[in-house]
Amino acid sequence: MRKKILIIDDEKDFCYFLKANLQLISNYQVLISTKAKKGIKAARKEKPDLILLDILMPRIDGFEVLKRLKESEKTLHIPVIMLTAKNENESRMKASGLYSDDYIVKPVETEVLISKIHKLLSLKK
Amino acid sequence: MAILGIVRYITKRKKVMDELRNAYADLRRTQQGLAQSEKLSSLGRFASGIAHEIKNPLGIILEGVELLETKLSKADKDVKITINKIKESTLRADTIVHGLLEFARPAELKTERIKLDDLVKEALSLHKYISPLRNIKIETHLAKEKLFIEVDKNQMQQVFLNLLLNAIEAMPQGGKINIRTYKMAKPELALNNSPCAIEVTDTGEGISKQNLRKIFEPFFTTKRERKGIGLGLSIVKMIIDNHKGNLEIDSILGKGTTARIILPLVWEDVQDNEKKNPYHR
Repeated sequence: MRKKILIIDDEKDFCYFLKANLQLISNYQVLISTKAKKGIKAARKEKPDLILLDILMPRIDGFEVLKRLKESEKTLHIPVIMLTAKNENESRMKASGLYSDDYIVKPVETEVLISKIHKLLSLKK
Repeated sequence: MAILGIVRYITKRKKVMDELRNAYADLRRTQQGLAQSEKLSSLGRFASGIAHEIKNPLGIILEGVELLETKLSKADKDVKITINKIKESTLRADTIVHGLLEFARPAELKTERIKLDDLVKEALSLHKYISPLRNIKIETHLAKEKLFIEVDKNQMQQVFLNLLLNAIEAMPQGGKINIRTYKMAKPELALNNSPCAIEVTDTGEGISKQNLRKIFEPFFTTKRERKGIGLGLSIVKMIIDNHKGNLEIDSILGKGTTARIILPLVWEDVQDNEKKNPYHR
């Protein structure tokens, strides 16, 4: 069965290209949410195998999304990779404290991203 | 007797004048250093503010180019080269932003007292595999005394890494790197302890006088074709400044370069009695 990845990021163009790359190279089923609130809803409804989550988003930031995902029984088991332009130790520590599974700084080569996704998905098995 | 007194007076006066002249030169150097640090600091603050705004579009460009790379995998050579160049340039721009961010948020100093020699040996252990491959011989001449300094070990490793890489890159045909540590003489008017120095000398191509003046300026590089971005020495200087030290570069074109790090000495163990040393780790 195809693995399902959910991208929560307000950068539409980034989501579009990343989705295309992930589908082309690794045959994942990729869902996109460019709004944080809708992303949380999509996570509950679609139960993706992994979430790629941006941090700096309008209204609700990635930390709050992460917190809500980990508070809900429906989504707490889903691995979350923070995929952000924010390259600061405080952010890394905060994300780790909220139980994110990895932290990747944009821009990232798709191959590197896919290898991290593979690793997390294989650990989940 | 009177003549002897006059001679003594003149000698003393000359000595005082020399000391004053040296102190004035030190003051000028400190003043110039402060101006440079302030320049770097404002550049850093600016970089920090826009880094996020730059990294996001870089992310879009990279993903977009990689999509083209996959979709156009059967395209002709020119298209492939073009795609590759765009990708490389995107990653290079990211490296520049990353380098600038190091100015913006200079990591908090986590200092510890360590033996100068240990620091040098540890830094060299990272290079022992690279140097022979480039036909480079490394010689060390460590101080007889056990010299202790108080530094952030990780940041100082970054300093050595940069200086050694610069030395290696200055000798594309191979050569010799000489590393020397020593205790410096205490200036007569100085209130603090004697400083200590670490010198990294290469037998490479050297730096022209004109370039030597710009060596600590951010983005100044003589390695453009070798993908240098010109932030390495600026960062090294900033780290050394933050340690209340000094970085000096002497160079003779065609003969080689010496990078000299001068740091305050916090402890000196002349005899072999490390166990008694309260700072020994």
